Amino acid sequence: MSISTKERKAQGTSLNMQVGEVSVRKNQRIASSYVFIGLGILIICVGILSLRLGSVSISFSEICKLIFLGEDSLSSLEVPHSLLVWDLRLPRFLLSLLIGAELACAGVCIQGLFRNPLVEPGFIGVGPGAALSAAVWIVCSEKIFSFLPPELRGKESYFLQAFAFGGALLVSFFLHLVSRREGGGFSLVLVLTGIAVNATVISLLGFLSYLADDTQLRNLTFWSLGSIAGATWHKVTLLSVVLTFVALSFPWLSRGLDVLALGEAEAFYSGFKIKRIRNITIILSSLLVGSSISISGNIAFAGLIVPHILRMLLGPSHKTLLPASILGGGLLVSCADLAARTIVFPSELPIGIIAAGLGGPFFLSLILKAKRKEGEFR
Amino acid sequence: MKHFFLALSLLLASFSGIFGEEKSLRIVTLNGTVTEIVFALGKGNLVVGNDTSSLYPPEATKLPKIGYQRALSTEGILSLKPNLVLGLEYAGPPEVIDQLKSAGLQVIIFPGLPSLEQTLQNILSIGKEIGAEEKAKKLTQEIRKQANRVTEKVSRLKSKPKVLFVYHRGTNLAQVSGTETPADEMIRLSGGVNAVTGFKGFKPISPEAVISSQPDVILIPSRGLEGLGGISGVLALPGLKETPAGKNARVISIDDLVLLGFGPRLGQGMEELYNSLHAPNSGKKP
Repeated sequence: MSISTKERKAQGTSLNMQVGEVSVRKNQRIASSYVFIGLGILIICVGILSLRLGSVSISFSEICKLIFLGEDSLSSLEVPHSLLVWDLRLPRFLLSLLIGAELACAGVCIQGLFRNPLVEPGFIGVGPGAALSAAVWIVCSEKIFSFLPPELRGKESYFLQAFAFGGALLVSFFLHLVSRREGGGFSLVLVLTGIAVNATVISLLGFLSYLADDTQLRNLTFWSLGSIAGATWHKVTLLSVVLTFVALSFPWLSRGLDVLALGEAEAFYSGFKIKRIRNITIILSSLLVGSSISISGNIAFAGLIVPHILRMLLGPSHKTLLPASILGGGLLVSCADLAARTIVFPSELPIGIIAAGLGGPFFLSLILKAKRKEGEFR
Repeated sequence: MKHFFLALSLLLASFSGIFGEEKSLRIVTLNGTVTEIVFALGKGNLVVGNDTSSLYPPEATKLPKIGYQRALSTEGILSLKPNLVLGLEYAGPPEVIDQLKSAGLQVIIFPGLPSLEQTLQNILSIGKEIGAEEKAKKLTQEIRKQANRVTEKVSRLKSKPKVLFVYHRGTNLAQVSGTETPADEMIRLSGGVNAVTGFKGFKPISPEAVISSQPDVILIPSRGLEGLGGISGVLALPGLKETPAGKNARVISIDDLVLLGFGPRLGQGMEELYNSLHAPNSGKKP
């Protein structure tokens, strides 16, 4: 009798817990959908502003006519609105979205890999590796590849992208080798290797800037500050392909990163191939960082802030974090680019400065708010 | 009579067309030297915007700025509604130049080689584009006269002083000019010898290298001199005290754009530098 009462109580308690869990999950799902819808609406707003603002303010109805009906009226500049929208503003807005999405997505991957919300893609040396290769191309292409036609040399050539991407992959491959030789304590070794790679890259970049002539040095400087001014449909296509390729792996990747979050031993006993998860994560994040840095230069902070903020809003599950990072990163960098090209109009600010300027204070205020609420970080 | 009026109105229309075109020219200049040339040709009133390196004449600094010549923005330039964009080969990024062309603007990019002949050629070409050919011819003749005067004096020199050009950016970075720079060319044109020939462009060098280059004169643009806090600041640079220039405190300072601009004031710059280099007791005392 007494046993059956205990059993009944226990059953009732477990049932209550299940009901509680279900309602918590439901609440989380509702909160997540709010975050996604909010980010989507904000991106649409920034998109409309990006298409409207510039040398000529184009009305919303005019933009709709242009995009959906293909109708165009000449502006007062004698420059067709279609050129302003299709050739200048739309590719630029899309490119800023893609670059932000890639950097933030790489940030989520790297932070998940280290189980540390305060590391970023540049930390393991992949970003700096890409930057160094690009700098090598800028400085050496004129001398070593002088047999190439002028349009294939220097900063204007697509070899710049190829080199930056190659550099990111080379560093990842090196990290991959280090990780294969390592039994346990993988994350620590990788972090230390990343620090060593970064230190080497900084010294090599210093040496390259010494070798560079005045023009090359200025190219290096502007390139390292980041800019989306040279947006073209070709670049948009290139980054879209890379991001789509990575996004297709999200279902698998999110499961893998969630398992890794439990700890390496738990993940191993769950039957997951940890090495494979780690290596593929590194390669995918290198692909994201290399391709975006090669096109826009260095836009720091997007890969650090966005994942962290989203983790505060959505919780730690990578199932929602990865797709949300695409929207969050896109929103941050597109806002930064809109500010970069409008604040000191008709001049333009380097976007790297704006991204850090927008993201930094926001990030700080969120951290302080979270600390007040919970007494500690999530 | 009707035919006469028709002919007259056509003639007037064609005249107004010519002058109308002249009036409606809206120029954006992408480089300080180009800005200076357009103003020197008396067409400064047609310039509607320029880049941040356009610091002369003073009227040019009051115009809207479109950013630095190597980091231009398409929409920034379009907003000024120009129909002619003039720049030197440094203008970029290249995508922006392409976008300006596809927006239907006439974009003309001139070579930026720092040489007397290139400067004269650029002045003539710009004159042709903005309808100031006569003035451009006169200006180039004037510059050539000044340059010839200096060249003739230089050819009679028995010895040429070794000149170390110091380029100062920021507080802790002093670089010197090697070969293939505007500074190197100005030193050569004005009857000096560049003390540093081991590398191309501007680079920082060690105090030992400064001492071994043994310059007779230090040449520094005036804004760099201000940045270093005057002559005493220049002489305090590592190694300089051990050179003839340092011992005799021979420091020559000339306005940045006059000295390095290779624009309308090139002849003036050559004369100024020649006089400073070869006049007895030239150079500034701390």
